[in-house]
Amino acid sequence: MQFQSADFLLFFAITVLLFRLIPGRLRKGWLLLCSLFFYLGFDPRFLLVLVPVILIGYGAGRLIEHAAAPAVRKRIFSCALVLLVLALLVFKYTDFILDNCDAVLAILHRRPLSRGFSLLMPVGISFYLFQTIGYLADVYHERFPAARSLGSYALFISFFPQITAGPIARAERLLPQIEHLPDSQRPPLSRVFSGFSLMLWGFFMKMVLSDRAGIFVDNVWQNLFACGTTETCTAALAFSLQIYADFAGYSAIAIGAARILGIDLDANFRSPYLAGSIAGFWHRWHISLSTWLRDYLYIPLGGSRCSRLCKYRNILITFLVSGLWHGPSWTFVIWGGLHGLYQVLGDLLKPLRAKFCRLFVVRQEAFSFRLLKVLRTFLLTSFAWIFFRAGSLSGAVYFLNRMFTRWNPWVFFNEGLYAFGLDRQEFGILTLGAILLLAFDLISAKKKKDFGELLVTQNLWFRWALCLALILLILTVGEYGIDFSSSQFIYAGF
Amino acid sequence: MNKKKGLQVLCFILLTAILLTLVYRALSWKDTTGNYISSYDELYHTPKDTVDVAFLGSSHCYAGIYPAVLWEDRGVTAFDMAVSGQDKDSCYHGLVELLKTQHPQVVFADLYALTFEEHAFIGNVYRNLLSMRTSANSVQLVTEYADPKDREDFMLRWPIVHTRYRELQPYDFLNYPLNDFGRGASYVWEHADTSWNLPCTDETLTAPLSDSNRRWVDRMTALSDKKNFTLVFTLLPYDISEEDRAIYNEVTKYIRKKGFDVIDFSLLENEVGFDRTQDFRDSGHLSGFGAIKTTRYLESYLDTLPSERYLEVDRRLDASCRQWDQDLQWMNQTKFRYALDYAESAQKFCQLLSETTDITAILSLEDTGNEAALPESASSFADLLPALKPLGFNTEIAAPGGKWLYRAGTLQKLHDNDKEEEAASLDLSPADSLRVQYNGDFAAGNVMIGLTDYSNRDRRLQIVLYDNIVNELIGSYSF
Repeated sequence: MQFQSADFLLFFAITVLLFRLIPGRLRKGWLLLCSLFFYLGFDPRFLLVLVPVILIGYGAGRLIEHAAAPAVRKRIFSCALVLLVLALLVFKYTDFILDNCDAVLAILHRRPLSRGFSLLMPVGISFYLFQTIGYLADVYHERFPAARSLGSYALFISFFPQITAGPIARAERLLPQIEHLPDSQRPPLSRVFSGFSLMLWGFFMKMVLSDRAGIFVDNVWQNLFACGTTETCTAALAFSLQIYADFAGYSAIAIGAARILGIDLDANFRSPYLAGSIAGFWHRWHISLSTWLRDYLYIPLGGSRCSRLCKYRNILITFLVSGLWHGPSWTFVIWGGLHGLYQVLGDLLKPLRAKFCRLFVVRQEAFSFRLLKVLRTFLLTSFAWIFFRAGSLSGAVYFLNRMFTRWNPWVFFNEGLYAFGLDRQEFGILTLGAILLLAFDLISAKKKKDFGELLVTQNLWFRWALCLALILLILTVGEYGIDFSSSQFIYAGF
Repeated sequence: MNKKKGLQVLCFILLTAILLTLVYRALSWKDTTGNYISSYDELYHTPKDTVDVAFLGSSHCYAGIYPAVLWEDRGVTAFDMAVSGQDKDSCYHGLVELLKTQHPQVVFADLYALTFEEHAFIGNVYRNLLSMRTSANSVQLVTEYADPKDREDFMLRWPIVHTRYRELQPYDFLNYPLNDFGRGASYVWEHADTSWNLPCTDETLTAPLSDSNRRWVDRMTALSDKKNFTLVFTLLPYDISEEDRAIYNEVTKYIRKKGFDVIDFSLLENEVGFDRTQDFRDSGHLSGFGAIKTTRYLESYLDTLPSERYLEVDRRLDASCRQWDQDLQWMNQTKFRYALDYAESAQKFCQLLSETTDITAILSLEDTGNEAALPESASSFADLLPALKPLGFNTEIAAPGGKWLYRAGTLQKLHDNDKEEEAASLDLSPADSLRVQYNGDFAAGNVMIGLTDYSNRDRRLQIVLYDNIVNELIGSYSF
């Protein structure tokens, strides 16, 4: 079931109510039951993948811990890793691999490979497989002991707020909390309120901002033949808003829901568009994935503790894998590759930038300099998002072609922008919402607190007024209901 | 401490519920016949146990049967429980809804719904499924009609109506006056010649009786037995196709076999005396002139029913039936407005206007003095002044022009057509405001209602009419 549905709200209300009423010893079992029920709601067949993955992770973890010889431990870890990566390849990349093989065969004038079947990709598979791999790596490197209880481990993997689209949880952070569920106190009201308001903020981002921006973006992409620089640039910026509001909104709902249940999930976004560099961006965007890639791919490859060339190689590999993880398409690989390239070039050009600043006496501590860096980073990421959004390489090329070869600034003044699914009123709502989001991000970056944490420190009247305003905005101007196709969270497709 | 926190939570939930209820009032669906007029709202405003005769059906019903005629002729309290495009399920559940508070002796149910299974227009789906108050009955209706994937949205309503924030109008916040006293009918007197579009009357055509049609007839007849009212089926006039005729023939046979009457107006055109140049507003609906004839025919049908099935009750002295008086007043008002529309001259127009107290008129008299600047059809000052006499004008106050308000027989000057004079404004209703000023003869902005300009453009006399019964602008007329 989707987060933004009446079914989920009912499910969550019952989950929380019973969680608070039942004895502590039953809480783990109750949450596990709810998590499996939640996942079942997407498609019962998905459990045929989730359950074996849980069993493989749990079994391999226990075996690794009990194996005395390092060679045996390595063998078990490698086998489990291969199985898990294979599962990911089979369910997510089969068509991609076969399509590319067919492309090569076509060049060689051979017949394409026959496909007797197509596989349904289980929701959230990329997330829980990475979570499992991370857990096994931690057990193998003795950073964390293997889970004793199958129930605790199963809940660690299947915990419903984060199973479909993260945050990718670390065993050292989540498993102890799960283990302590029977003994822990019921979450106090302040925590419940903090979680509730964070969820509201998440729904606002998703349903008011992301889905609304998506209407404009989709319309531009579907009608590129009629678009020029103005529409494509606006759509590129709108997609930056869409994807941020969608994914950060989802994460906010997940983290808020977990908080109400007394569980802390790691923050996944920290005002990413306020970053002053691409490296800084990746410390703020999809933090759970970027730290996972850093800890389980980049550092094992050597990280930055090697030659410069080696470091650049590691960066590029990491970001190419990141791109591929996001989707079985070359456009995602290009997107990831661009981010890797940005960082490599950024590092290479550092001395030149420093020389430039010295030569032109640029005040690097000035607000204007920091603003320039933030804008530069935002534009670079928005450009890369074009490839992320494009359904195909040719689509991305066509989009860029329209952007750079058809100059039409009059569209800003003749209301032509309102012909792409959002009229003046809707554009107004989107703009005001984006300003609200920016204001919150600025406050959040300064205070280093999320929306729920910020709100809980305010006076009662302000907390209530803001929550009521969000509820009203979500229910009134949110994109949902019979006239809308309530879109999936973008990241749920991974 | 726990008690305090618990109380806080309850207060927050209560506050949220109140806020959402208030907002829902603005967003909720508000028409069953178009333009904020809701027969359901009118039913909910009706005092208990006052309706003696009910009519069910689609726009054929609310256009073709006038409860005000039954009231005027016999003091009979009738009600059109009619919704645009009423489908079978909505018809049945609409009747169940009516029977919650009313106990009519006779219910007439139109058969048009038997010719379709699904609505052609989404607007009619909303009209039929969203107008009833939420109850077990409305939930049952949604369960029976809506697709399983849409049921939740129709039951909660909010997922559908929340989009109305894009189209809110004054009567989303104010009660539309007609909903207080309307009896479900839509009084329209405009007509068209439909002599070219005759319905199919071939009673030999047949089509198999569908299961859903049979089920509907059985449900309706079972309800009449259970709730002890006389059920009569009707087929109000429209351009019946051969396909529809075949369905009606079969259904009529089935209904009559069960012992119930069917009044097929398409087969009774001569008996009723329909005039196809005047009695139809279009090929699918009767005009007011035709509706009077069908209503009177039904009156005479009621006279044929034995007393144990129908006993006519004259409720004209019943204080709880004031709404029927108001509805009759409204029917006469619509007829009067129609007459005004077709007044041949300024003289006739003003004469008619002087006979009513339910219409406010804003009169604007302007003159360039340059006859050549006006079209040939423009009336001259000399012709206009005598025409205005019924409203209380005389030459001293009329020249050299100005702006007047005529209301309830009283003429009041608002503005002297003097550029130095400040604009005069007044509220005509909670939703509409008037401003008059003088920017020059035939200039823009001289007569504004809201943000719409009703200034004289090429005629000396401009009369803007405002209906005091339903608080709406009727139109502007220039001479």
